[in-house]
Amino acid sequence: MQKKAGPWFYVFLVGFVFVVMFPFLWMLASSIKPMTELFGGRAFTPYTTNPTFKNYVSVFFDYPFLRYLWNSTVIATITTIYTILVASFAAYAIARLNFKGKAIILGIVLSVSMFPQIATISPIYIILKNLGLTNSYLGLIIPYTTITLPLSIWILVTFFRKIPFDLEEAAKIDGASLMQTYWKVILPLAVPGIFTTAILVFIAAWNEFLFALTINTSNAYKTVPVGIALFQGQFTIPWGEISAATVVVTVPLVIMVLIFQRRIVSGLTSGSVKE
Amino acid sequence: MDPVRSSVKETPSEIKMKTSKKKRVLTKDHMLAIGFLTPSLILIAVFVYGFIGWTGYVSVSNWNSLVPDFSFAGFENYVYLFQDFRFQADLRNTLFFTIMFILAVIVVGILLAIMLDQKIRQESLFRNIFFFPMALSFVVTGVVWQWLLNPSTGVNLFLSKIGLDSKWYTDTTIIPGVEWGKIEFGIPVALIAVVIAAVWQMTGFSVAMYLAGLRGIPEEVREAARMDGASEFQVYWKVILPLLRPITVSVVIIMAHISLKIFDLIYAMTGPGANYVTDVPGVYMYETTFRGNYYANGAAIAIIMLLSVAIFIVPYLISSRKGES
Repeated sequence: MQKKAGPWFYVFLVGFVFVVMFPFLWMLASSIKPMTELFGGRAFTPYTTNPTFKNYVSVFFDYPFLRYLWNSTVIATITTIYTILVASFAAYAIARLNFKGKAIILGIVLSVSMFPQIATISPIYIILKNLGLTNSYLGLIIPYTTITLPLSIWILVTFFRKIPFDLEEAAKIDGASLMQTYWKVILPLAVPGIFTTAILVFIAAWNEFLFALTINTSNAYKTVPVGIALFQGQFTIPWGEISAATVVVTVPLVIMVLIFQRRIVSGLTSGSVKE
Repeated sequence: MDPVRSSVKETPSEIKMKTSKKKRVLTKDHMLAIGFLTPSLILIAVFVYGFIGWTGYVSVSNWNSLVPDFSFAGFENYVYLFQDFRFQADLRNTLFFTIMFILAVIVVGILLAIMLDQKIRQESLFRNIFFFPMALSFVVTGVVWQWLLNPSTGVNLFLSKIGLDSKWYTDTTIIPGVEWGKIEFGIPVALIAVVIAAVWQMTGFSVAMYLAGLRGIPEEVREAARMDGASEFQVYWKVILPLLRPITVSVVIIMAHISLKIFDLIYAMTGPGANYVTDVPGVYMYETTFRGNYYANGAAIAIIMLLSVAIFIVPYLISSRKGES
């Protein structure tokens, strides 16, 4: 029998937990410090005796941070819905239908999901500019296809493959058309997989930076990552506000990871870990 | 066609019925497959392969101003880059960043995964905590670590209190700094800060991968090794680690492609740095294209990045295809 882990293991693990959590706790501590305690003698003191929410108020009322949150939400949501719709058809075809050249198509999809997006940024920028789509929601939703579509096809294929083939056979025998089989038999069973993929697509679109930085430059259409990266003004870096802003965007993600950790991991590692 | 089926005696009409039925299903599958795949394939063909082709075309053109100029320049832009101080520094930085980043992610990932695999209490809580930086964007990671390593406010104050160097984060020293081309070759000290931030963010992924791999190794394998008199260390070093090799390959590929195309983290954390000690091709490409309007130079950088990623991905894809068939 395997030995149970001793107390040293826990000491070590808790040490690692501290290392992982430390940057976040540091940010949290900085975000409630008054300006005067961020620098100078009290900069290294982890706590403050005069906690303040001024930085949070400032983030939401002095900066267009709410606008950025709204923009990110709209762009990531629409990207997720339309990508999943298009990708689920493609993934179904690759996973369940008989035709030649599947492996090649899957190879093309996987290689696309790993290529550097920077190799497409100039033409995308120029075309969007000529179409008048820079500084618009569509201007980011369209290019996000290059990131999210291959990613979701790849993950969905592994999920679709796990659904037993007998069900399709049974539906066929009952006289269902292929389209009916897809909508009424396969899709309901694939819901957990589709949901997982949707979470990953949403996170990818929410966090995307290069396209967002290049294409949507006006404050009205900036997304959260761009807003945070460009918080620093010309002469001063408002660290209190930046800390508050990072806490605001981190908390929902932490909650999401706590709830969906198993799904996210299974989605990310699917295809790369053979079960 | 199908040896098992053809060996069974069937009446000709039965055979005819079966084959015709099979054919009909196949064509229906084919048509549906085409219908299902077309939207995705068109999007990928235009937005990815088409635009990469465009970038490749621009990279051999003379377009280095605001006005598009598609006249053929040969490999002039590439030659220029490889003789350029900044690009040489970028290549050095990418090389050492990639090596340090991948090694650290693998070593820490294996160690933590082995520890989590010891039937510990609260395992899922630990896993969640190790995993959560993965969900953050590189921009947030960069900003957080910039603040954390800031020489005048962050943890480096602690270093200066005990009499150590607190300014390493903005140091331009390169170790060992051998002259090579136009640059000093070696590990830039400031780059280590970026590696730490990247490892902090990505280790959760390798922990998850290795944990899945460890769970896939049956307990009997370990038992057998112990029966043969192997120490606990030997069991892991000689038996478990070799069995985890496929996972290591996946982790290396995934981390390598992240590291070779890294942009957000550097942009948000350090920028190019003095003497370009923390610059990477991605940042150079962005600045030269969208700040300087050197479209052809930028395109050449993008193509070099693409090729460097392809060196990792293409063999991986070919070998995993072989594994499947």
